[in-house]
Amino acid sequence: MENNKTGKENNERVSPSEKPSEIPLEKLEKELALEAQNFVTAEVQFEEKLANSYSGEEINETKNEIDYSNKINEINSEFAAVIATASPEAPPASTATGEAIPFWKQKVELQKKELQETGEIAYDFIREHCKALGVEVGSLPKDVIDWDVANRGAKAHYSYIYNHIMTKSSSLHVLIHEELHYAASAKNSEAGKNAAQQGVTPEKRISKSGFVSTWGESEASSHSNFRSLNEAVTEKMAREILGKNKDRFEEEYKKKFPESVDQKKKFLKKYYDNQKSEWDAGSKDMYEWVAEPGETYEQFHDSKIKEFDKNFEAEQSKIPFNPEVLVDVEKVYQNEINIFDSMLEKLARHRALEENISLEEAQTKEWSELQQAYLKGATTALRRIDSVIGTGTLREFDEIDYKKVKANTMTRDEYQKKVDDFLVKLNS
Amino acid sequence: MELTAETYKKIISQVKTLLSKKKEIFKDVRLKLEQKKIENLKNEIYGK
Repeated sequence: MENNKTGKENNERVSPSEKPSEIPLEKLEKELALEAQNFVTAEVQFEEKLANSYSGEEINETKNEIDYSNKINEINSEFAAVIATASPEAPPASTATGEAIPFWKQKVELQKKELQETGEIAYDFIREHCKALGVEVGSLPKDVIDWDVANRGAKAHYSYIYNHIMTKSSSLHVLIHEELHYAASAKNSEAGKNAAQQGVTPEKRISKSGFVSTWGESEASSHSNFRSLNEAVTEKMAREILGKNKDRFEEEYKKKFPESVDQKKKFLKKYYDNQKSEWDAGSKDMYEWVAEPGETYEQFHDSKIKEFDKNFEAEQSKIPFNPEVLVDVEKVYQNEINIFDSMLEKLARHRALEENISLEEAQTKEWSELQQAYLKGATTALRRIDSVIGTGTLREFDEIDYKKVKANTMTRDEYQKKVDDFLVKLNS
Repeated sequence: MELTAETYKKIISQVKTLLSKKKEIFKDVRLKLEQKKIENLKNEIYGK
């Protein structure tokens, strides 16, 4: 029968106007927690789907075109305001009755834990790589990485100023890239600190990581140099570290965090068993209160159970860890890497002649030394680029900055033209 | 302030509405990306 509420037997119905006191608040609170969870996870799921089908550049460009961030932020703010009305001075029903923390909060906590764990393993890989280069990098404190709740365009961001990583992604690739910025920061390594004190006026420099120095009186008025070159080196290193270690990740994760894998399995089963049976028991009351107009009880019940099962399956696929960790992310800074590779080639050719060694050996030496300089913040090593390739090479690279496209001070076409022209010049 | 069942119901309905709004925006992004993909394919096949 099409209609539903009137189609049900009268004695099964609980009219809100007749018996409001019989609607259990705990159940409504759980229903709200579920809806809130759906709301919060929808964006993460959407981002994951997008990342699997399109490049980061395409996604960001399209999002900008439709003013995505502002629109989503507006809805998120509205959501926060709505949710705030459900958690005023009075504690939520579940807390009042001494029940456990709501699932969605526990889930967020588990996700944060997994992000920290992935970050730790990423950093282990970085340290191994640096050690092989003969450079010791400092440790990675637990509070360095955080989920980025804001809707920034990039997947992740390392703040040179605050020495902190904000990420929307738990991708190993993304974490290695950002943690390299951290590892190379003068704030985090003795070698970097020493280099940072050489030959510059420290009071005007806000921060230094790798080859990038940020100058200015405040974050808002700051400017950086060697940003593009620094990103090229960082991303090239990140890809190398990822390539060497990606296949080891699962093994390392299970070895290093066995209790987390068990915790996730137990949590998931317990949660879905409890939630499903509890929801089922109260589903008739719930139907009266939250079903859509025209929806039959059977439709309402089935769709909710399907939702539970779907969520359970989706969550199951995230054990031992969220597969997003190992998904190949788009190749960022490819233009900058192409430019850097051309420079490296020129430096290596010059060195091969100078030292009478093979081109391959010269390339390995050049790349190793530049990585060492990057990790130590030894910007003076870059002088070799200008002296071998030509004065002004570094300045020209510095002018090619994708940040300008994002800030609308350069069009995408202008940026691409500069890249192409520079590559032609370097390869001629 | 004590939350009543009515308030919960109202909030649940508001959250559902907000999620629908969000999904509309997701749809816009997806649609635009697909359109671009098709456009790129056309250019690849027929030339610009």
